[in-house]
Amino acid sequence: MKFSQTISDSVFSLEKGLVVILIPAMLLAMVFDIFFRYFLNSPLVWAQEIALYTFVWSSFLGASMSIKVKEAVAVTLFIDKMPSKIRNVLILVGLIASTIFAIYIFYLSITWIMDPSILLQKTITTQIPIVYMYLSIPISLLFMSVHFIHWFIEAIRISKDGKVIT
Amino acid sequence: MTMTLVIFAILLFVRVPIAIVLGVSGIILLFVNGNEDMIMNTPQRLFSSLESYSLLAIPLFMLAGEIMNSGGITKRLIDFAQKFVGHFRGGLAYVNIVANTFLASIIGSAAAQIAMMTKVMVPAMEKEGYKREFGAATTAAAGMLGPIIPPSMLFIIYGATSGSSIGDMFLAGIIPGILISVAFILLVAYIGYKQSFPSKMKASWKERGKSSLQVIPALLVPGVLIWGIITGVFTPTESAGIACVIALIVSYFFYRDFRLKELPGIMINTAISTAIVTLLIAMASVLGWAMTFERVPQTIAEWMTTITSNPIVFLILVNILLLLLGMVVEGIALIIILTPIFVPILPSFGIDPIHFGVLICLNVTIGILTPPVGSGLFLATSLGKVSIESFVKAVWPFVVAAIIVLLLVTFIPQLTLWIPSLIE
Repeated sequence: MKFSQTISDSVFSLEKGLVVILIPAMLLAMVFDIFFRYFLNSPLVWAQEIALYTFVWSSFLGASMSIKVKEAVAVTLFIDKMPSKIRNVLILVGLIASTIFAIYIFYLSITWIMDPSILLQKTITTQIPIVYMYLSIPISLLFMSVHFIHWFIEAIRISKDGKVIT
Repeated sequence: MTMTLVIFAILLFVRVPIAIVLGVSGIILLFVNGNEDMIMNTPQRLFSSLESYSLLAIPLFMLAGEIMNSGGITKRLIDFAQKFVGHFRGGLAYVNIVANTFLASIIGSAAAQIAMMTKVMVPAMEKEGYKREFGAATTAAAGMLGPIIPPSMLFIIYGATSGSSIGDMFLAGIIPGILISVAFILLVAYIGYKQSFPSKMKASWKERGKSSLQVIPALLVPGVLIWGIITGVFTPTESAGIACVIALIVSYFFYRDFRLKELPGIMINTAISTAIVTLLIAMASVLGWAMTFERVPQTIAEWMTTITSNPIVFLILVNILLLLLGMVVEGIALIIILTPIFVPILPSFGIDPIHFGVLICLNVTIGILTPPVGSGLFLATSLGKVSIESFVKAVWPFVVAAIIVLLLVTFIPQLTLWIPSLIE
């Protein structure tokens, strides 16, 4: 419990640090792009690309963060009508399913980016290897798996103590 | 297909996040149909579903909304509405709707709007003698305006999925948004008359002038947006970027409620609230993609066209289907999955995709107020501290009013198409 707590919290701090850089970078790139296009009449194509890929990165990192803060949208109406013991068991089942899914997509994405043809691709204008963009998927899914595993361990602990999982 | 549906239902039931449910269902659908090799492409699919300049507008509008909110915009909009409509019988209920209408022109998401306004308006209305559940219902219903009045996350998602112009979608939402606002005001007038709601002192014109001046900087955001789209100077995504800059300037220099040290928190909130939407988009696109292998869209479309060839009957059927589905499936997911099914058959009925887009979005926003999965319902009941049962009792008149507007918009295409047609 303590161990998974530490890992999940450190991952979350890292995620927070990353989006605090990525989101302003996205906004700045956007503003530069607009400014150069409309006022200086010389479009900065690379700025568009940076805005786009910072968006993709922060979206997937944010997805993992939404699991950590337990804000991802879920249906609670039915399950909240259940007796608390059954409810705990059902939530644990759901957490197992979610964890397996996150780990499975993580595994698929690792196989995907290891493909030699992918490793050769570059972005159109900035010529950055596209694998740096694709990395957003395995990394976020890894982080998401960490948060789900911690959530699961925490939930087991709570139901062992005979309390209700929130 | 049956197995996928069963697993879909079970996962929803055991409180798995809806985005994950969609992803799992997509993979299972591919698996049971023997498309295992396609499963390998899921990560690519997830990535490319978000690699879109149109969707880039989502975090930018969210950011503008977050900045405006911590810069004290909500407070000023409520104050402005208070000075103008606060003295009528049921004043605070009108204030709630009017302030929400203006807030909707800055913020594009019902959830964000309901979360912001419930915390302020429900306690305020209770203090003045309204029932708590009526306060929560009014706020949640008025929050529906968020995705109808531009800017709108739902319109961006529909535009990006269907290939329609997001600018036209924004313009098309103006009249339906105002109609809903008016319908709610009439409803409050009627309820207020029957239950003798409280009223307040009338504000002087001097006070009104002062609060109007204070609200003008905030309304620069929708001003630039509409101007940019009408003149064709900015794309919706670019205007979202400009909206952020205006929001920063207005909050920092004009309202001065905003501190720079709040920025990291705002960035984190923006990332999370964007991701809640974009994760749904990414996962729903996996399911949508899996369904095309199963020819699900074609089957539904063929079935639809055998039932009727009359556009009005078709639209009524679509409305019923969407209202029912909207009760059990999350709105954004519904738009991403259904848009590719319906848009290709629109030409055979002579229906404009912009008209249809506003319809689909109106339907799913009504769904946010209804049990069992309405996100607006959960936000308003948990933040407003009222029971779901009492909330549903208070909110149904608003749902009926919104459905009446939906029918008007269905039968009179000009309500959506007139403003976009002025531009051409």
